[in-house]
Amino acid sequence: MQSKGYLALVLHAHLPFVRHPEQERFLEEDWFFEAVLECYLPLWERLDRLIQEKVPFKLTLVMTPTLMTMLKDELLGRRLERHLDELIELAEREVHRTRKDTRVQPLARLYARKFKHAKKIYQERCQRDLVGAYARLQETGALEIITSAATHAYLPLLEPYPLAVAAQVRTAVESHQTLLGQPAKGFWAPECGSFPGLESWLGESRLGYFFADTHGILHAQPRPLMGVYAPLLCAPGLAVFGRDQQTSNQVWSASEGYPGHPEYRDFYRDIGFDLKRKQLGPQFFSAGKRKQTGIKYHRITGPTQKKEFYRPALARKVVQKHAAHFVAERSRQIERIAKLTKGLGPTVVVSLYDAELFGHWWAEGPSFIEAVLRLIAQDDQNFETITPSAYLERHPCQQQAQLSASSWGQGGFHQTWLNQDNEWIYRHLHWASGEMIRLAAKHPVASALLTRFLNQAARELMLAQSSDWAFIMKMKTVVPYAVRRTTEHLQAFQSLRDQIQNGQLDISVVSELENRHNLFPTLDYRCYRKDYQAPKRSPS
Amino acid sequence: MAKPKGKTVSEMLGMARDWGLTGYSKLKKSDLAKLLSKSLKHRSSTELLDLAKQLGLRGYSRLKKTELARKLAIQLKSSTTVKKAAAPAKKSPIAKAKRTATGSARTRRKASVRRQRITSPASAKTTAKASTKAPKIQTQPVASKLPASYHDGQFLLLPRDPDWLYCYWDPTEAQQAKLEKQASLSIRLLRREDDNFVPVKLIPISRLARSWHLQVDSSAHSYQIELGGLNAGGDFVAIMNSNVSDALPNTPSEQVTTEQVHYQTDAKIENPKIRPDTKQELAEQMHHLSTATSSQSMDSAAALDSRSWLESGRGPGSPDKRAH
Repeated sequence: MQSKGYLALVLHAHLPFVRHPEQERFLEEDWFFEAVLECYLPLWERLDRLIQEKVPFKLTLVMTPTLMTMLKDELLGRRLERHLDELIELAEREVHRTRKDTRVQPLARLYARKFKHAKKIYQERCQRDLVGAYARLQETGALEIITSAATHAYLPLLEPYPLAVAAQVRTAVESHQTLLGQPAKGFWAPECGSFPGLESWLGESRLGYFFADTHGILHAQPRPLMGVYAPLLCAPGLAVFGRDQQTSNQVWSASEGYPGHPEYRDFYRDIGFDLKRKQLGPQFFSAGKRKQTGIKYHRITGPTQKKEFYRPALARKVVQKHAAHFVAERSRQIERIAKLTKGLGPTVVVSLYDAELFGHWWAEGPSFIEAVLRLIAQDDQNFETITPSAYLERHPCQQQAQLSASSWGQGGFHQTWLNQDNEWIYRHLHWASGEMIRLAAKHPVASALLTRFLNQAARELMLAQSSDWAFIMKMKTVVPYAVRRTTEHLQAFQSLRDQIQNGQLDISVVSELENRHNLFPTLDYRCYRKDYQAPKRSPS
Repeated sequence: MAKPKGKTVSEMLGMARDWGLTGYSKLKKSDLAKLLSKSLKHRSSTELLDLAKQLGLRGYSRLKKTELARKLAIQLKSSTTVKKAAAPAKKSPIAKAKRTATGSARTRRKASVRRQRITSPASAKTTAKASTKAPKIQTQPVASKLPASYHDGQFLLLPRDPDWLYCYWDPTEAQQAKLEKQASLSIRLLRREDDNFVPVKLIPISRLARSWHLQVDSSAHSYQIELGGLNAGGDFVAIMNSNVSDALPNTPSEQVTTEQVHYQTDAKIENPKIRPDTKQELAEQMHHLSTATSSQSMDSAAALDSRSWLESGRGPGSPDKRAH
């Protein structure tokens, strides 16, 4: 069937920098372990299988610089394997404990197999390097990996300090190139937070496209003719694609989204809360408190606290049904739009999701992605998957407009990251941004030691700018941790800045910070200068 | 009645650093208290009021600056005699974070993400209207040991959403002195009309305030604000001026274009297939489709599954009470 349109499926994989070498075990590092084992590994395996089986598909994956740095980190790699070994050991104990329970034991065996399989995939097929493994998928052309702001800063609230925005973009682009060996073609504005003016910094870094929330496109100047179903050109060589709300709702929505089906595995019911302390072992407690283990035997069931046991075979059938529904809906949606815009150009439906939803929250999510991609690859579909860069290559003539400010947070603007729970951080972030810009302007060149101080000051500032901290404060989840991280990085920045200012550089201070916050080894503090020149690289 | 509290050595060291004092690092607690007491006369009224609050003094808001400084000096010096055991037990932010984070913190974070991302921008208005009561005076969390002030003269106005702007200020010593001379403080909101900024609102504020949320009447305007007081004649006297900030538009542009541009070459091309008289109508229809949150034809077997879940009232983002 002739293609009338496209689906651009975009998965946003991000975690804030949660590496804590100062302690042997640190609860927030679990975020990383859970995301790797439940999302990034299963997703890689399924995409790799599609490629091996020559199923044609296109997928865009955002890998944020902080996530890629952590995936490449040796310490976190070792701790990840330790975590995996502990899970294998727990699952085997569970197989033994449930030996007389015919309903639970198959599930315990399932988890034991799953963890052993994950270990094998991680160690043997990915060679303990998920970034490298994903890079190999990118080489096939099926996957396009793009970048985001260096530490996922919420850029609209840095707008008063344009060079702070520039530094986030420049550092991200440089880090992406270093870690993947390929330049990023596109950019994920953290939280889809965009504002008029962002395009100048993205264009400068030769990024070809980025994404905005629906109303960022709909309220553009002039008004777009195609709604969110065609990109807007907002600068030479730079396009912005808008989020499609229908596809978001089908997966995200609490009222109609697929992941809440009663047959799917329940996320919350975890043996970490159900078993006795002795049955779990001390490694599954944090500061004496229970925590999730990842072993969950129940399904969502319904509006009841009495959960029934998970039935994997039935859940797999539901996945297939939901995938078929998703694809059929896209076909109808594209048909409807194509009819309306006949002759004006092909429709592109842009579906943006947090990657961690698929696998971490929604256990069956990676299977859903695989099933959707297999169904779309069939010959009788009226649309195909595409990456934004491929779309722009095929259809270079698009409407030009100035983007309007938006985010994908509650309310659609900046209120999630600027409200009475987190507003106190901005006077400090802005002051530090101004100081960093001033220091970079003052030191066009610097001695080796001073360069280390300036570079680390830039790292500390960027870490304080992560949108995650303001978000956690707003959502009132792990607020003390978010406050601590914001404060700790700003204090570190101030300490380095004071030493630079006084000309008394204590090497032990910078060494300790470099060891703890070791991201962006190639960062150049001059990215805070107007005349910054990105390092020249030979074409790969 | 709460007893006045003392300051620990590390808190005093932090104060000395924040106040830009020198030669304090090796002082004993009693000497440190003396040094800080001497420096009180150089602090702004706001800082003294903050400190009085931290030290648990009562009835301080009515005191003159010199009297307040004197009382604070006494309290600082007396705090050096407080026994260690009487000091409130301090717990590290890490320990607190861990206690809070039962279960997976990331998971609860994601739960909230899921719930918020399906909200349409139209709800921004509802959110803004719901918070029309006077803003609380915000202070940073106790766990945050950042300087209370940088005295850099910053007065920044930021757009928050189409209905609200946010501002904060950090006066220089000279500006602070001028502000303190005012009988009362106000923020004056100015809106750009043609080439001029026209006053539209005068908002009385507390002396303790350091930031404010301002409701604005309409979107797509440029705003600026001033911080100051009223003179004897009742006229507003500006002491600090903010940057200009554009409020965020929340409606589509009235202008629709049919022109297209080449992605790489920047060449302009008129799209001949669009009739000028129908472009507005088409833009409206596409807008409607773009904002449709659900499909029209949920008649498949899978849709039935979705409905059964809907009846369950259990969304993917529903937090589990056990995890809290």
